[in-house]
Amino acid sequence: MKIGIMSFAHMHAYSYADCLLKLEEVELVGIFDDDVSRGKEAAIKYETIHFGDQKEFLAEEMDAVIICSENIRHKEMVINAARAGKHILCEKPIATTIEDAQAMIDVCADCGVTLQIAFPVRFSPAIQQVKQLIDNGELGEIVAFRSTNRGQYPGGWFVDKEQSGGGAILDHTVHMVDIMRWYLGMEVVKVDAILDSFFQNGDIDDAGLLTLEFENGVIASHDVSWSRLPEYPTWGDATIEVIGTKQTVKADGFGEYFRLFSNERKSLTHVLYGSDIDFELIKDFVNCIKQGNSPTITGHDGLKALEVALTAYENACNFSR
Amino acid sequence: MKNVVFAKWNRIAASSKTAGVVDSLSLDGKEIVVLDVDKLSLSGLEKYDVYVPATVIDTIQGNNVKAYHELLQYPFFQRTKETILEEGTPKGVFRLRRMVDSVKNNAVILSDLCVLASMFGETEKVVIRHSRLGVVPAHVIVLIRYVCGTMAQIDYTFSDKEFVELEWSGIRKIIEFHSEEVNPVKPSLYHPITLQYDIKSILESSKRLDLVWEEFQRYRSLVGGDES
Repeated sequence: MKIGIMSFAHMHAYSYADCLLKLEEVELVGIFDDDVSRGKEAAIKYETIHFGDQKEFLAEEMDAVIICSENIRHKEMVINAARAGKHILCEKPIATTIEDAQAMIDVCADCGVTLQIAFPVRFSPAIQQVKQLIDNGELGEIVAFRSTNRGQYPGGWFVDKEQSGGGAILDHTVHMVDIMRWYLGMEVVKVDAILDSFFQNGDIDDAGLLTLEFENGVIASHDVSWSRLPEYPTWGDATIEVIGTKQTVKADGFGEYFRLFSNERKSLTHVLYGSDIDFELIKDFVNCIKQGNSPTITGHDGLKALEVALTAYENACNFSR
Repeated sequence: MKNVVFAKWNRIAASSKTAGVVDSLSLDGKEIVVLDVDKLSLSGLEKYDVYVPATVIDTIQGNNVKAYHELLQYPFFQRTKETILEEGTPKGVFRLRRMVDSVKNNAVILSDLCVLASMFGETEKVVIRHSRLGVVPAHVIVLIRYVCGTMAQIDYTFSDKEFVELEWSGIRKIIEFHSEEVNPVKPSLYHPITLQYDIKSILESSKRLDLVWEEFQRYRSLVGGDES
């Protein structure tokens, strides 16, 4: 299978490229990046061809593309790739507006190509085990969720509203809302939020607390931020607690680690081991394409998660996107 | 004047052993008597200074009665509060998770809101969501923005066990605490040491019943919800 990558603006592109190289049946046939120096550097690193021209890149023979551009460019790249007949794995958030997300979904459907959204947290063994417990009825009826997705301040285009479309709330709400929707099979109908910019004195949101209500009355709290200090033992977290009528369980998407103490400035580090959720995501995407299956995580999943993040901005009385 | 403290017996730290722990009012010469709050009765206690958890103030009255906020008694909470306030005006994200060994009791929430007000000051926005009526365990989420800029969220599950998890994401400090994870005795066969407190703390921090009642009134209509 031939796969290309469109843009290395998002750091996940490097991880996804590493994953592609691990799959014997996949060939990384090229990289499109109109940031020429970044694209050339990536092409050298991954021993493939750099394209500075999107049309030229999409004219190449390939089955699928992975899009890791700035959020604001997802729409343009998804639509162009779909019209060129390429299946697509698009980095989250799917887009920066609902209208753009819907247009992307519609074009992919019209062109008969797969659109999958990159929500790797779904592939965490801990997150999957809780899904299994729920499906087996071992938690009983779900009463509430409590989740977190906090990371370090990313800088760069992430903190430029023109390119990202929003800050930490847009960046870190979608993962865990996707998990809640997946666990429950229901949609969010109410969103209350408090947002602020605490940690970098910027004009973009870097902290938020959300309270959600699903259509069946399940309630949820979500803590989202770019609050982790560089000295913190790990990059961040993605956790969810599920309160059920039979029992309550908690899953940590990055919970497979050991503690490493050293005499460095950062004296404690959580060293991750175990499953690579990015690799599982890429493997799943490749398998879906190979077998002609529907994507595990659809464009609609991406749109519904985006909708919650955008509603949080709308409903936050103290902060605007 | 002797002091009579109503408390949950398993919450009283071993270091409070100077208190005479009895289950009836046979004052044995000790200055402090601790009685089980589950058998709360003020009958015959008119001449004593009585201390009760704020969570029971709707059921009692008396000029000789003072109320204490349980959250404020925990040594971990006192130390956390000091650490957060060391930064000056606190600004950050405060998150509290409480698994409460009780049927749903809105007074627990009111009491905690009073404690948080002592750290973060006036509230600007409070949103409270209750889980579906009649579903057990009951769960409540409280979302708060304080005038000082701090935002807070508290999750309560009213169940058959007790734990507290606290997180503070400040500008330059992150605090994490979980009463089960740091309990020095594992497995927690008894009530965890992390969730015990000292009688002395109760005596020092309790307030007149009418003052706590007034504090409660500020949040009572916001908390709402059915207690069943």
